[in-house]
Amino acid sequence: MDPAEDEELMLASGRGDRAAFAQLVRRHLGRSNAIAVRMLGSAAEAEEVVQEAFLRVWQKAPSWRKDGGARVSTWLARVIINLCIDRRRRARSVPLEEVPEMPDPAPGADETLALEERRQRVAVALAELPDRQRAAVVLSYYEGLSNAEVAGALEISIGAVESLLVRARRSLAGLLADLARTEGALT
Amino acid sequence: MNVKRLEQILAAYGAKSERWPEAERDKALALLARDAHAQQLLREARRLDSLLDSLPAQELQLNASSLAARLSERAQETTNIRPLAAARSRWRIPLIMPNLIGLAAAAVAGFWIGWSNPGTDSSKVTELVPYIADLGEEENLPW
Repeated sequence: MDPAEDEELMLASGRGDRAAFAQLVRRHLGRSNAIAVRMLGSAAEAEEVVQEAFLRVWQKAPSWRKDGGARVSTWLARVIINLCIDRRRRARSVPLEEVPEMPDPAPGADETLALEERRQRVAVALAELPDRQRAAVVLSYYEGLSNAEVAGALEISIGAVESLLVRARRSLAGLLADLARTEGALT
Repeated sequence: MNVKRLEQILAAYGAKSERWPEAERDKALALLARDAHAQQLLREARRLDSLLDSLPAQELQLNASSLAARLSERAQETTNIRPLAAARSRWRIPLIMPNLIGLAAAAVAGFWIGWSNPGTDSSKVTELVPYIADLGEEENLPW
């Protein structure tokens, strides 16, 4: 995705160009949704967050300044992450086991159920990570953002990204160790 | 590049070399080609990757075009560029309303007081003066 094109679309959106805004949404909706789903573990909640984030894009577009700092994609990732973290903080009373909401498995096959159980375990482990560690894994591992982009989205130094990722993956390895032992996956 | 650094890279980015820092990638791969312990570390990283990869990408339910159309019906934040005249027309009436109401109330009250009190007898005012003077003296008493 060309950052310069994003900039132009953002500036045009700021002038009230609805077609430019629609193009901006088309370019970023998929990734935004993926980030929100993995941050929240719920498609329905992610949808609300994504809509709120794009509403902010539209509303803030008039004050967007070219060369004002962050790329559009990085700024948008930051908005999504912050909205997800706010939402999770408000919903801390929800039992952890209820947080992930993955697609229903196809009925029948044991293999499908085993795979679904594994997915649920991974989703729970991801949900158990501290917010910033989870955000780092989502942005870096799942969405393939560079360390500089992750740093921009999380408002931390580039050097801090790697140590955040190390802590996150070590926690995940610990949280999933019993599953890994059962399946003979991890030692 | 040494095994310790490779371990750190694997711990942060996982087993897929395309995710590793570009500047260190070739040296890390060269180390992996010759070091058995490094290869063991790679296998462990792959196992965690395999678990993480089992989490599927969620299918997108939102339609981008309809979402954009719906959101762009909302007003944008234009506080920085709103013309002053427009700002005035929006806020002037509410701001001066309390003043007008207060002025009208004062006028009605004044009219009513003037209407209900036919006049003030100046002799009564004169009678009150000594008492006022006494009060002034009391304030000077030494207790």
